[in-house]
Amino acid sequence: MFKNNKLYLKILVVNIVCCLILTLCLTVTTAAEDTEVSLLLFIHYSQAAQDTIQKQAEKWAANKGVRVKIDFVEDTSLASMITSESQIGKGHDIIPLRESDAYLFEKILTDVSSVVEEIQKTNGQAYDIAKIGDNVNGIWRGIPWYHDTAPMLYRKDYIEEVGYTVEDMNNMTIDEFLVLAKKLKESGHPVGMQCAQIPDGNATLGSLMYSFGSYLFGPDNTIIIDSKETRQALEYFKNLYQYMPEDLLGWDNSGNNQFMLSKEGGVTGNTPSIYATAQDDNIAFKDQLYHAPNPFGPKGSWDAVTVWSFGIPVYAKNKDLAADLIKYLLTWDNFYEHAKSARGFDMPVYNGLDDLSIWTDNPNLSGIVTGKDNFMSVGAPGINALPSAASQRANISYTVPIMFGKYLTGTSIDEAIKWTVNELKRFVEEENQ
Amino acid sequence: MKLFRNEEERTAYFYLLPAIIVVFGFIGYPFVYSIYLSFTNAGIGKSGSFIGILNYLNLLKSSTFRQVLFNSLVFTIIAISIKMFFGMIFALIMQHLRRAGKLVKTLIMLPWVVPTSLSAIAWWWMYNPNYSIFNWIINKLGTDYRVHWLSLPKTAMLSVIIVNSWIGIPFFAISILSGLISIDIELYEAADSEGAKGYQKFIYITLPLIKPVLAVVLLFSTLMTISEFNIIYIITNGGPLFGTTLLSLYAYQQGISNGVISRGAAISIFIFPLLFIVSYFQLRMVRKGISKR
Repeated sequence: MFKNNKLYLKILVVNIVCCLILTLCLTVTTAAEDTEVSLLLFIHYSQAAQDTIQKQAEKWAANKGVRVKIDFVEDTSLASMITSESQIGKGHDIIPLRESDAYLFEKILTDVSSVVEEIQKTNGQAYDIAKIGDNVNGIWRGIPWYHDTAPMLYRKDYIEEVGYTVEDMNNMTIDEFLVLAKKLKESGHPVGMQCAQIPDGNATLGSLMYSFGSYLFGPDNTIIIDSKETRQALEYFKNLYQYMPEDLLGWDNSGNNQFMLSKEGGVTGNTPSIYATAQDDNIAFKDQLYHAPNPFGPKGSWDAVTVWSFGIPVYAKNKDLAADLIKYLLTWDNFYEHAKSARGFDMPVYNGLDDLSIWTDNPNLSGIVTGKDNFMSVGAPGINALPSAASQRANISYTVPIMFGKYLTGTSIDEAIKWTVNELKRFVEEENQ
Repeated sequence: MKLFRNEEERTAYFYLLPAIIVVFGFIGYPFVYSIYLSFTNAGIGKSGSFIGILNYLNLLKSSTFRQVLFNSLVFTIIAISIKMFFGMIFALIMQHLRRAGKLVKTLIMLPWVVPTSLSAIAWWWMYNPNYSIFNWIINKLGTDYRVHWLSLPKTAMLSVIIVNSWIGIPFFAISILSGLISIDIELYEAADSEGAKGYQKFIYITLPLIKPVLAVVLLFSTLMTISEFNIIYIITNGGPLFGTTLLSLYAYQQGISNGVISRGAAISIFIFPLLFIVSYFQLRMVRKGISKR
């Protein structure tokens, strides 16, 4: 057969052997992987915070005589990475969970109740909001790590120009906020509240809805979004929208950061990252950036909180080492080193780690500390509802921002709500399948 | 009955074996598996059970999916038209260039050569809602008008079509150029001697003879355009309000980000019958064109 093709035959054999070797390299677990703990984390806005986590993890690994590897990726890519890893049954030993991801990924998360109990012995009980997001049907699937919050952020000099004080901002109602928005637009430094299909949009609009008493779900995944309160929230935001930049719907997560750091913006809703960036870059107006609670609606003022947690997937190779590393990262000293390096972005989520002096001692940050009673988790289903896979899907699909966006761009209020109801029904059906 | 006609044929198939294995392993198996998944309710952490065509029915009932389907068709038709038009113009220009021809060809090819992700990031910066350089230029021309490049569904769709076209025009240009330079010059000389004008030569000589090339280019470009992902993901992530969400991104969002793997598979497979029919007829047209010559 190959009488005249010896050269070609040699090339073919070499190619096949190379392919086999490559395949083996990609699939065979080496001994080294058995003593390596791998973490999947999101890219933190603060490089210093990332470096701190890296350093702490490496110190732990050196003490244990093992290796640690941390992969930092965009937070919007996390869900897809975790889904992909779960499909192939291989991946990181520790994965990050946000908000109610524990419900979405319940079937691939290890029961970490014993780890959480141990941590709570030293750190105190986890905040209720963390428990709601990570404790699924009585079993801890996530280990709470920290929370971040999205209060109002404003330029003190700009609001003073139009006759307002820090005290006014700390006690502002939504109607007063509308008046402020009009004045700031006239003065050339408008309000810019995120409402696009991005995590910030979920946070801003979620807390607004709560302040009106508008919710996605009631108990047992009953859909209650079609309500008078939802209509009020939609109408209010449409009124506010006329005083805000026209390109809001095209902003990405950094849009409001750029808006405020460019000197243009007067007020936005955001985590303290804008303030921290201004400090780090020594921007001229850095000390004019203040935080305040979100405006008070008929049902109060609500803090849109994201709780970040650690999860140990069922396919993790080194579950015990992973649990040990997590406990190490959550010791008092390590958590505070991390919180300080994050410049106030990452806040405690255990009652025993509740020293809030990083925030309360700084007048620019003190407005963030509002108390846990008005925490609402970003993507929360409703005040009387536990999270579910359906509510978390609604969250990561940006259902609420899209509902608002539809109404802002000409869809009738009834159609916008009807679309939302249909989407929520679909999420519930998918959960029940 | 012999399996192979002769020894040469047997050798040929043997050498093709690695490629067949790769194609089956990396394309065929995932494709068949996706079809299977689309008939189940598989999700993250659960293998699922057979549910028939329920996923497809649910998709058809979904107004969002209908919008995504519409977006994909609009995006493909407009982008292909732009690429075909400008591709032809650039090909004709390159055909007639002598001096500086190589430089022009290189510049025309640049959008195709630069990695798509980098191009998309650069275009995103140029479209930036706060600091668009295009709006800056417009303002410098003496007007306060602002184009909301990424903030409204229609303008966002136009913006991503422009990017896709910018990247795809070189492919059309180079492919059409290869067809143009294969046309016998004596045909044009004969037409000149008959007094034919430029546009007449184009309509009666050029177009008919490059039809097979156009058909192939159109086919490949249609498949690539309708499955566009990178540009949309980076520039708009499907927004605003699903205004730029195409089938591939929607499949990713539903199947991977949301963890409803079966639904994502159904979305991916949905357009396959249509593409199969389009490909079949286009290839038939190509074969007819070749056999007539």
